[in-house]
Amino acid sequence: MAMIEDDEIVRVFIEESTEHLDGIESDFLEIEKDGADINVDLINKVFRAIHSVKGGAGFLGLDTIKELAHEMENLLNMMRNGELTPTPEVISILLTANDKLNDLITHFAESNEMDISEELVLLKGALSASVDDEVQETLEEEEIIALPDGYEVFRINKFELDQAQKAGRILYLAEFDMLRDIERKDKTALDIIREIQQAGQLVDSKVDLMAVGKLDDQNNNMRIPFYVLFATVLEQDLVGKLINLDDKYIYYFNKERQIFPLEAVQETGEALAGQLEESAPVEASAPPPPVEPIQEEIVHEDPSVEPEPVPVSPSPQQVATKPAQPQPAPHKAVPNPPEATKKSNKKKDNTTAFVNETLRVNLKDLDTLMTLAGELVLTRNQLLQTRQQKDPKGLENAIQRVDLITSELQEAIMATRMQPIGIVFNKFQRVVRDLSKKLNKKTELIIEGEGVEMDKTIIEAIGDPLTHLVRNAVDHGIEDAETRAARGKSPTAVLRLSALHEAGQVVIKVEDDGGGIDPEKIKAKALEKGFVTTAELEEMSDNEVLKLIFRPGFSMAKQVTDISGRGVGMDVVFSNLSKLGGTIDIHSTVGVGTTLSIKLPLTLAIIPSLIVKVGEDRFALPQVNLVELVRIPANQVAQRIEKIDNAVVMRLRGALLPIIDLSSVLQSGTYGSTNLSFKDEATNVVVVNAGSFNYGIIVDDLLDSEEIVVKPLGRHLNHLETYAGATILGDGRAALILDIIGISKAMKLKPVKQNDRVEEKQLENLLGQKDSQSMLLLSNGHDEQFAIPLGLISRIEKIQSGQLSETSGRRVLKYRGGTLIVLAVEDVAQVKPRVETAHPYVVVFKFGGREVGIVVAHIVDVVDSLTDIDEETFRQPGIVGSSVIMGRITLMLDLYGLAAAAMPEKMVEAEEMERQASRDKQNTILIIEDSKFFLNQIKGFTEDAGYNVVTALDGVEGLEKLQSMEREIDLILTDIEMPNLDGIGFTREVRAKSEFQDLPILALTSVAGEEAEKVALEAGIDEYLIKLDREKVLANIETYLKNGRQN
Amino acid sequence: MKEKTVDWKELTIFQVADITCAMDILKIKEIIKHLELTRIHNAPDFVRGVASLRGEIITVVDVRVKFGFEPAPLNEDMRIIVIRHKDENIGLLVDRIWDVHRVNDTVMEPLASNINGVNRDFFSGIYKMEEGLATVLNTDTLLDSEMSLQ
Repeated sequence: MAMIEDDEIVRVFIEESTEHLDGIESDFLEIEKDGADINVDLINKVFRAIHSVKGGAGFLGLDTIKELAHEMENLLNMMRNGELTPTPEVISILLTANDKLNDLITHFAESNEMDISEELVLLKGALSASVDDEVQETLEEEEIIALPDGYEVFRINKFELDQAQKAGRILYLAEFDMLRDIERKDKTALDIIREIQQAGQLVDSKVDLMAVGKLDDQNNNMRIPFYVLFATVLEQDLVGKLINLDDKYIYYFNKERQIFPLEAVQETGEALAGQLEESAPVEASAPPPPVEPIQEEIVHEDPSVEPEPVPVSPSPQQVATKPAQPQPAPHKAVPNPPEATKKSNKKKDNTTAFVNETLRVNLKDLDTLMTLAGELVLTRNQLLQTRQQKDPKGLENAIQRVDLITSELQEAIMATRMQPIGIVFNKFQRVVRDLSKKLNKKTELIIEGEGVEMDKTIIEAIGDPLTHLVRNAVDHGIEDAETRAARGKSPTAVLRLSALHEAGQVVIKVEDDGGGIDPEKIKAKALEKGFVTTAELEEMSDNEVLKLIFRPGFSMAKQVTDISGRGVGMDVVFSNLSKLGGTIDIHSTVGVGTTLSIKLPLTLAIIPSLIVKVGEDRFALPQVNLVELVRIPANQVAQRIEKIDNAVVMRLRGALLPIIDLSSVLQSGTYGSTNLSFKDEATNVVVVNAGSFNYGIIVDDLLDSEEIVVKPLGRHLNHLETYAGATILGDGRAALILDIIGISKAMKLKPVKQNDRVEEKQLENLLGQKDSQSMLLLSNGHDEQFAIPLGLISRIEKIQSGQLSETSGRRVLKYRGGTLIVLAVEDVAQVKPRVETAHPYVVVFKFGGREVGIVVAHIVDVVDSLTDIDEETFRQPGIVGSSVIMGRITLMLDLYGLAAAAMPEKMVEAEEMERQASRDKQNTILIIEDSKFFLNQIKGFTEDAGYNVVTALDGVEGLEKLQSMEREIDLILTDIEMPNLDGIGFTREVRAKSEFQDLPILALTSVAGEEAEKVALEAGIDEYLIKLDREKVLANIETYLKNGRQN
Repeated sequence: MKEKTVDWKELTIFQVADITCAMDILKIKEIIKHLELTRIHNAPDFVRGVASLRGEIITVVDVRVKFGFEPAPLNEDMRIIVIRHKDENIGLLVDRIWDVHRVNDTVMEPLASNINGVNRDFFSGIYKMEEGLATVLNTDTLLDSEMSLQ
């Protein structure tokens, strides 16, 4: 049949087919699982999908696709009739055929020249093995379907016609006219096929170009016939309405396959007779011309090319040796016009593969875009108007609207790009099945969270790294059957692939219950490869050791297998994920299993970042990598930045961080060259996270945070490791985006070994026994200075003074498409009001489950302060006490108190939520802490998170509370340093009592250090946490309440 | 009326250091006067920087450096010729644009030897003008030779 050269129709067909075939693979696997207990609906679904492909392909002249789909369909048909059991062998054949079908569709232009003999042999083999001899004959027998005047329309094999006529279906031949019935009704032939498929079963279809000439000779009533052979349960009087065609163009067949015009039957009113009695009907009307003579001559024109029946053979090698000859080729015997026309179409570009460039978009999203576009137009009009009227207030309004619409537009467009991750996940059913089979393992793949949506680009890019992880898990992670049996595990291994949203990111986990990774093996390998020294290994925890596998060049495979060897290791996965702005983490227990968690941003295209300045150049630094900003005053630079063993390091809260000077890095490209000749100025250091460790970057200036659009660099520049791309800043100039991991690689940065001196110092710290906390110092432009513990703050925003507006007596900040309630210290506390500045700061924190901001005039500094807090002198609402920081009296702000006093209704709401939450959680936490300041803060955020809180001021009181509340306490948070009975002593006492053996105890401390931690853990403390690190403390509470004590 | 055997084309004539160059005008997407360049540290020396051209980041190659000359400070006469090269827009920084000549093949001659010491692979022929000679730039070899010059 002629290949239709209508790109639009071909495109629609390809897209539809791809869609149809999309979920089929997992359906096949499902069918396999059901086995003999077949799910007819499911098989029908697959059948219909393959069938649609066949229908479309036949119409478009894609004969190879049609043929393959046809054979697959035959097998499925047997399956749904219960005549063939879907054994793994049969499913394997169908899967192979499905792969080929996909391949053919992708390369549709060349598909007619592609070789499908192997698949055909397999399919036919499976078919013939399953049917009895009598039926088998029908497989090889062809029948001619001809019009009553003897004009041959189709050649179909008998088996198929028999199948079509089963279950009371009547076989019809319809002759549409491409012009009148299709073109003028604004349809396509594909629409017709689709309509028919809804009510029946399509056997074959074709556009008969040969007939055109013939008819044209005789008269001017030109028709381009489009023949469709189909079977349906609808009876003769209804079928015309179904396909919307005049009865005179429809024919039907009786069981002997004699053809009768439908019109004649209708006229004589013997509609049912012919079909029911199965006899040659109706002498009344013009009797159909005999078909017999033709039938005689058609059967087996050339018996020698008859396909030989091949037994079901699951091994492809066997079949591969058989040449393409079994393809049924009676076509050759009769000159077949379509064959000839096929050749003439070869000119078509035959190298193009079809790439799906379209995306399904939710109609609602599209409507939102439309509305926004409309609003944008209105606002433009408003802008033009205000310009003419020179109305500054109107201008201000219009700008605000543009601002709002732009961010909403951005969000809406992003939404259209979001796709469910299931698209990627579902592919792994097949991967896991095939791989397990090959390795003779049993693996069950459990998929969770396939509905989680991510940006299209990420969905596309995540496939390869995930494939690697999944293959790895099956190949190396999961043990063979004997090992599993020996370990007392179920013979079927479980591989869990899950996705969930967490704090604006997506977490994807690949968990197996296999053998786990032995850190000792990694250590040996790392030593052998020279990645680490023995001394370094000794200082590493097991988890750190595991992370070594992400280092470039580290491959654990003992031998290179074709499954997960290839010299490509986890390092490639790691760097691929880094390019997407993602991170990967690993947890593994020997003999129990391995979990890999990947964190990815929801979208790639637009990322929040910090703009920094070095010399004359500006760079964007992605916020995902940002840990903190440190400003070292000029007089401290010499003490805090030094050179140790050729590495420049910075002291940060007792630890050492590798540090690089961006300007010298950019000029010379080597790490060692970072020199120490600092100017007599304060130094800005941006602390960033490079996956397994942090490092500092010295920059000249910190500019703004901006949401930037990532643009790729050209081919002359994309090999540069230091840059992740470029962006265009607000002023229209290009700026480069720093690749934090790339820089660390280029500079060969390593985590700094903490030297003895530091440890000594930490020990000193420990013995010094003073609580120290990072405090954010603020001022409102007067001599009053405020402080907030840094751990309680979500983030700080620098804003324009105009951005704050008053709505119903409430100060709000409009940003990021939402609004943020903003308080001021003076709203609650008796302090001097804030001085208006051009760029006030808003300190954002969480209260009652939502974000709240506090506006201040200036950010003074972040200091590590010894928190000797006077809780009497300055105490008032919103202020918990005072302390002397940097030589000045500083008021300690009570964020929760401030928010509660400023927004009593929110407080009620928060309490309501809390009650709600506590009904859910019903967990009570005992907090023991001698400093009222800390006690308040910790109580604040734990209550905010929905827990019941009981407090005690020292260990003795803690013990009393614990005894009196008996079993009501679910978890204890305790300070270490306390009068009377300290945290360690308290824990020992608690652990001595048998009834409290399983009670989780978390220590909250500001004293870090391994020595102290060791003592604490030995006493029976479960976790050693930094005091006001809200997120971490809450996360740990949740984990321990959920899972209880580990061991 | 048209000569059937002669292919007419239009050449843009421009200057790079002391070499007069020519390029088929159909290869040129546009010629830009003012573009703010952002320099790229660690980039190959012939990359003058990147620029934002209507929302796209394009790499700007300093043709002087490609030819082996010292880079020159930016001045008023300099232009950036934007061409399409392997699915990417690339800017070529040149010292000055002179003129556009309508020429046919008959005035084109093959290259004799290296031009002023510049790699002859960068050129595909010589065009004789009334004012003198212009060498026809082969942008493919010019832009693909990145590795050899580093």
